[in-house]
Amino acid sequence: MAKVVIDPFTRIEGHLRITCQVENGKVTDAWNTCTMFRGFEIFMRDRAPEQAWHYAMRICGVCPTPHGIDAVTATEKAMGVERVPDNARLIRNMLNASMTGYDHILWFYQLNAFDYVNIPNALKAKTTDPELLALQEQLKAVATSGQTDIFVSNMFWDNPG
Amino acid sequence: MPDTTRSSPIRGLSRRDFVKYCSYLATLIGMDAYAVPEIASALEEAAKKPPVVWTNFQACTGCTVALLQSTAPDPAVLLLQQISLGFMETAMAATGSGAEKSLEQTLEEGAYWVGEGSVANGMPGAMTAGGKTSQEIAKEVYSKAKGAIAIGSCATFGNCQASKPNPTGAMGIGAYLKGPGGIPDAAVVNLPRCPGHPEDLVATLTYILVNAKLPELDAQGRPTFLYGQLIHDTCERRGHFEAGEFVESFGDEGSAKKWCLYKVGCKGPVTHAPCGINRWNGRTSWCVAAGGPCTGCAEDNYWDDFQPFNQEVPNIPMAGVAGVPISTIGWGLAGLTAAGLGVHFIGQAVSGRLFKGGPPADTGSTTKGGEA
Repeated sequence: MAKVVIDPFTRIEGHLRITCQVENGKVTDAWNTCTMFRGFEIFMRDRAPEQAWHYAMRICGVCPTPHGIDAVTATEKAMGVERVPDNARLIRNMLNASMTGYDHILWFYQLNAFDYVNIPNALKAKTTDPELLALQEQLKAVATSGQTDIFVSNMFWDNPG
Repeated sequence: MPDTTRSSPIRGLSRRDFVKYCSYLATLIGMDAYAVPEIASALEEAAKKPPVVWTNFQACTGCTVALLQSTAPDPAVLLLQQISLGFMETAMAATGSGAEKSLEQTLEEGAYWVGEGSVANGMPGAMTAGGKTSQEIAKEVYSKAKGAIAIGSCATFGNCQASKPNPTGAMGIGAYLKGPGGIPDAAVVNLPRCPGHPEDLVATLTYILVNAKLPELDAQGRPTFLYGQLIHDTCERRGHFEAGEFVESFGDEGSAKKWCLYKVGCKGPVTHAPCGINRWNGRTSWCVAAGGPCTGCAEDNYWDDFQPFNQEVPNIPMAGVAGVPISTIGWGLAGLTAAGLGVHFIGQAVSGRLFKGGPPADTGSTTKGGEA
């Protein structure tokens, strides 16, 4: 029985440590550990309620808006506000919608895609599109520079699983 | 069609566009047009792109996201052509031991260190990566790096997690390194704001590259070429302040006319930052332009000193303006600012500007979201 530890676990907001128990090449059990704590529940105490959203937005910089809007909603509920002005509702909906759009792009292409796409393979791609060729040139310069780079270095490409 | 002029690689740029980019950088680092050839040759002659490692401590990753979403410079130009980013937890392909190897390798290549997030100095277990605490990583990376830049309010001053009662003993990277058990002569450039502005980082890196030295820093470790001015000084609503035209409550006539936000809590008069100049979202907008009073996020301890964010500046405890202890020279600066403001406001009151249209309204009830 072997234990595999992945720490730092990258491409997430914050910090994570994953411990896997491996038997005969298969993961039989796993544990995750959040390795960062700031204590929002503690330092938000005794603050003016209408200031809460300023703090809540700092919980996550990848998805700050929902934290902020939820803090506002929770504060309103606590204060017995039953209905907010129509303009407030519209602005919040627009903020949430634009957040969803931008966040999806960030989440999929920047945080997720490296798990499915082998970046160095792009050097072998055959294309005539001038923009893609220019990008390929840039990538080639990065890959052959001998310098460590976040896009090409030290990744376990092509997960067989 | 994407804007190809903006995403062109530096080394593949036309001479004209490259020189344009260099003049843009010159403006950023506060040098004049005569410096453009100097900047151009510094960038061209760099045999290899300056390696950079970006670490995350106690942070929300907002500074990373701000960098990835910057429009000037385009992240593609920045990451593929201008710097060689070897380690950035949120955006790197490698993970686990591979990521640790990248960090080690990049540092061996002579990397600059960009630190995001605060050091959990009072609770070491509150921040670990690869089994090491933030204190251990900070000291190790600092001693191996060519230069250190703390980006964002967490890495510079500890931000909200350092506000009372600061449960994890969070503090800025520079303050931690200079503190007990650290590296006494540590030099860290502080680029605060929440999140840290990508232009600040590019400007500072370019400055270091061109001048081969750290920029001049103020008492709080911020480059004076970026943080030498108050928000108030470069504010687009400043004219309304001078004219005594104030927003009295959110949603009133003054709000619609984009008048001065001082009376609804703007901390611009005591906050040093270039927000009015380099703005956000590709220089489209910033807090004040959107009708939001400045919260003072570029100053030390703004969570405790500047709250509530929707009330007037004079409610700030003056002895601790910007969190600078009275015994340091920094207090002189803050004190002068406060004194200057005092005179400024007395002048305003005498001329009747500050109380134009009656005494200040009670603004405390206007942000609670309910209908009157």
